Amino acid sequence: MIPCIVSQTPMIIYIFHFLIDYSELVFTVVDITTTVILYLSAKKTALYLWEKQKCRKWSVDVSEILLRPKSLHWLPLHVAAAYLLNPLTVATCVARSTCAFHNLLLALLMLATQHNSIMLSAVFLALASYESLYPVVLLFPVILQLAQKEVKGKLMLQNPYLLCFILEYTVVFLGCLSILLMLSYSLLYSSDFIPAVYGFILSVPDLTPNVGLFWYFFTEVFEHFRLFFICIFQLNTFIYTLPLIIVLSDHPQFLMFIQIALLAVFKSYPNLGDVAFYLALLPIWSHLSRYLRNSFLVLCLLLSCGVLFPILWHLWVFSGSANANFYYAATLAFSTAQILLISDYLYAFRRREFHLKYGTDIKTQDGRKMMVELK
Amino acid sequence: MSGLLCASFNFIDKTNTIAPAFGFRPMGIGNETDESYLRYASLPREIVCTENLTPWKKLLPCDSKAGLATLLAGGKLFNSMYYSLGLHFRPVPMRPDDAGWSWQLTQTLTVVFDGFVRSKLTGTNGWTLSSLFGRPLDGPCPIASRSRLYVDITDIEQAPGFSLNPAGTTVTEASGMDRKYSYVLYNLLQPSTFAQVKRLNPSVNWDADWDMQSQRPWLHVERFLTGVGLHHGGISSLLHNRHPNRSLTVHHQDTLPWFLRVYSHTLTVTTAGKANPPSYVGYRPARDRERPHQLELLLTLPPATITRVDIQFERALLTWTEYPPDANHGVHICAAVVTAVLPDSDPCTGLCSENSPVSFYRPLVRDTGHLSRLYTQTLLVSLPTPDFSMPYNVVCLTCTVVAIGFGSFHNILTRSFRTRDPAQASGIVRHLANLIRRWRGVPLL
Repeated sequence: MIPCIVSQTPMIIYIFHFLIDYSELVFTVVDITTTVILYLSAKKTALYLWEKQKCRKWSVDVSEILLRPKSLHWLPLHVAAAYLLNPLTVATCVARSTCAFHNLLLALLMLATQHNSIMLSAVFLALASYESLYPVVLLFPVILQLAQKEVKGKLMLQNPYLLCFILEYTVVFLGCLSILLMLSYSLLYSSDFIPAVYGFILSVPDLTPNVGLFWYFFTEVFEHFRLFFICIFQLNTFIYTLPLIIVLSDHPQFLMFIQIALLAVFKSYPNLGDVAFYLALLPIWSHLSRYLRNSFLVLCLLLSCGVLFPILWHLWVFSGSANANFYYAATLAFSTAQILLISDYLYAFRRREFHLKYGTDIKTQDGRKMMVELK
Repeated sequence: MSGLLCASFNFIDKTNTIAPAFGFRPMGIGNETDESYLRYASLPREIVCTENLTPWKKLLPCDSKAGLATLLAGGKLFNSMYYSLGLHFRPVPMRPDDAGWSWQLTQTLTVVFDGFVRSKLTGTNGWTLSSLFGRPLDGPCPIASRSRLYVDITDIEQAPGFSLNPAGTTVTEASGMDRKYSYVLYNLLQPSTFAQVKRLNPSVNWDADWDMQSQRPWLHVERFLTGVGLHHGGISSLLHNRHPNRSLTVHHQDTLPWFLRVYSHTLTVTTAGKANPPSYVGYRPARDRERPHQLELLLTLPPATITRVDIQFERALLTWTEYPPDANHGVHICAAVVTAVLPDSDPCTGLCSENSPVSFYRPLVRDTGHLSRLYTQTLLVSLPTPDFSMPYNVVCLTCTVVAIGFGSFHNILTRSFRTRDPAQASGIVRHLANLIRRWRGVPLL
């Protein structure tokens, strides 16, 4: 493991070798491109959700929670605006974080998946995984999404067509990934970049403060527990994939959104650009807002953290009148808010599905309203 | 070495060792050590004290019992402005005609007393050996083959009322074109030195109204930190070339610890407001917890100018066990080393380590330029620190947040929605639920 000042992949470094003189322009263009791609992707998603709603059978009294064409019409614009006008996106662009490139790749992956392009989605998935490793878990939602069009019969594990497709897609993805790794190898004539990039992501040697949970924890943790907690924290990032696939296998779009959001919270070096990306996807799921429980709390937490981050950072690092705990408290609150937000959306999604199936107004035989609860 | 000198050389490890490309060479005539084995390391936090002086003195032939070493009493030495102990170890030929090799150990000690402050404090204009070292000289070490005391009187000779007692042999050395050096030599091994006096105590005096002005050395280096706060920062070196008409080529070597994330693209060298690109830049980036940054520059300093070398860095946050004791005090950064071949007119007195197997001392040695090595100040960099009293709290709080995440996802993903008749809810729960519902203004259960 050889962490250095730079822990970017060889390709990014190679590309920036040419772009470094125009970096302001490049980052602006990348952000605008991401916005356009998100717009196109959201348009397709809206169409997909509408088609899906049309061809499914619903319970009787669900009209008030169904999607409406009018709201779907404005949805792509809302997504684009939410990304481009988000202060977090602007801050990321000003800071010239390579996160902008990761977001672009994720947006391209979403667009390619929406257009059922196996090859392109595999390429973008491989690029995104090559860049920051974590997007590799998006392999499952992408396969599920593509399989809906490509695979005949029901999406069951017993279905040989599905197994065949999973195998085929995984081979294409791994092929793309190995081509990228090979290209990097040919740029450097050494495989040192693999521990320097992926070892850096997995073993968390750099403790520079960020908005995530890792930095202060691994600054303070006792030395002999370090490896144990690194394993636990990294496992925690990946562990939600399987249950999410089982629960949301019919809704790969939503699965992908939840996965992207979870990565933004639990990855080892999260930043505000990741948060900006999944916040931009929230308008797609605005029809869930009826069942959100903590939206006010989450909104307050996010806003106050947004204000407190720069203030507490300044107090700690520049004026020296506060210590690291102040900033750490803000990052804790920020992570908690994001966890509440994501779990709330997951809850709302499942609750809405339940109501779509059984109706919004479930009554007992003697006409009293029934309670709905998780059991 | 560490045990011999009571010094913490055991802290020299790969995180503060570099392999210099130009600044240092294996020393000694005919030293054929492969240069790829050459390493340079320094410990900036180490302070020389009596613990190091005593074992150092024990290496001398007469310990501190006789000869010049009797002057080296800790109390006076460590009250001085500057002191430095040195051990130089190098291979030399046994005899000029012999092919055999032996090792030469050279011990050096440099002390700087501030004569000006001292004379103002005591009201006397001058000094004696006993006022500086606390005692005069009794005699030579009996087993020494050479024992000499030089007094440099180059500048002070012109002072009104200058006197030096007792008189010694005056040695004049014409060095370079425009400068002459004068020394008074006391050869302790010559019986005539102790013929008149029992104890040698040279004293120098001059008139009160003489304004002591000595010519300053041609090359002078200073280094300091720039920047505000604990995030970004910079290190600046000012290299003064005071020679009126000769430009100097100097080698600047810097070792910076890995936790300062130095950005090599921010390296700028300016002379009098204009860029002065180095003719050679050797940069080896650090690896976290493995090796330091190594920066070597070959600079040309135009005559009578100040050249500024700037580089920017970011501070990293370390794990709480990696900080030195008293972390808020900061971390010391090694001195940069500036090596140059100076013209002989350089008005410096001092020990110059050269490849000559014979002598280290300036007089009677050379007639060409001499190699000079300047060490800058060490720097004290404050690092952002975590709260050292909080490990338990941080482990608990962060794990709580992760557990909130895990718990809520586990809850939502492993359970499914069911309907339930509210009438079956237990009394207390329904009562509480109704309280909240009444407050919210929704129908009661």
